[in-house]
Amino acid sequence: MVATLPTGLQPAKSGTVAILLTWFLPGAGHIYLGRIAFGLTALVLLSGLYALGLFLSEGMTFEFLDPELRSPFATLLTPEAGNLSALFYQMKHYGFGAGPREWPEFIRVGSYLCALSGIGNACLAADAACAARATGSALVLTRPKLSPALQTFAAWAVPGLGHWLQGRKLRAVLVAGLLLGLFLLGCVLAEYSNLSRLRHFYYWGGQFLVGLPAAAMEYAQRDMRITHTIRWEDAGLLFGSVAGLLNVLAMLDVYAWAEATAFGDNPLTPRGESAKAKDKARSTAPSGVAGAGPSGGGGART
Amino acid sequence: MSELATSIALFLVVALAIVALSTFYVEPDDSRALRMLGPRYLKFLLWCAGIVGVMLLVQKLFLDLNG
Repeated sequence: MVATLPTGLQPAKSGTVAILLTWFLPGAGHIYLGRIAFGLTALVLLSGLYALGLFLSEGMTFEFLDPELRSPFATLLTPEAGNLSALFYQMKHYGFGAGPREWPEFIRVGSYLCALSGIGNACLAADAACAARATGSALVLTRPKLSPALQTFAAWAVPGLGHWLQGRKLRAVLVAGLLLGLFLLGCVLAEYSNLSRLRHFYYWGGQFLVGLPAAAMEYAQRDMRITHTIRWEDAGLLFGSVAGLLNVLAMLDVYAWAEATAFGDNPLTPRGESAKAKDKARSTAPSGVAGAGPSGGGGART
Repeated sequence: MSELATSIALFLVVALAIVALSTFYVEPDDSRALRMLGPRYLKFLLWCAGIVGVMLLVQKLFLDLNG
């Protein structure tokens, strides 16, 4: 089942501007593209998610960070940085806290919701890029019922799920096996001590990118106490974080495939060749026609 | 198993994941990606071995950890 992308005879808009606007304020990129209702809904949802996270954590998430690592730019390496305006708000109003206090009861949930808002906004920026590419085109372009951004979000939520939804089942199984295997091996090596944001602030950010399996594992080990030296803890942290970072590569693969499919490009074209072919097609295409790819440029498919 | 052997085994595992995911990214076609995987893995390991060799050489020439 397919749905029509919001294209037509709108003037061409910049994908870069749409991405940057979305990064700074959820939904702003879509408002720039003329999709005002969608943009405002996204703004309310993602900012609301962050606000709920702040409420539950009482804005104390960044107090997990060791004092010697705190700086104005230290939080830019967290998942929350995906929602820049909310991150700025948190830094301005809560910062690194006034001093040692008791952690709120739901600080882990609150911390997770803020991070989730960041990754959600990154996927929203991908959607804005896709929508911007569709502007300025007189062609009717199509996409699967699940948008490229949602497929990418699914790839984050469960490694391999994005590929599975695209019908790339062999790849889905391989990606899931490799990434979840690597993450589990990391947990075993670190004896599950790797899952706490309080103990390992930045490594937690890397492991957050493994998606819901990491969240489930963290929840299962929430009451863990460390009573001895863990021999392979560093290796475990490294494995868990590498699994998360490699999942970003898998997410990019899912997005590239979804976007190519939506715009009528051949998704099987190797990535380097695809970019060169697109550049060549752009340089030879009549002005004002965007999305004219090498394989027919998104000829009417409904 | 000695610590060195365990470290090497862990390295081989993480290297496989790194090479596999990067291969899947550059090559969207599954069968071509799987064919490329072996040579790319070997190439990655050889480059890493080369870097280890250089590091050991530098250590031998310029550092005296026992002195």
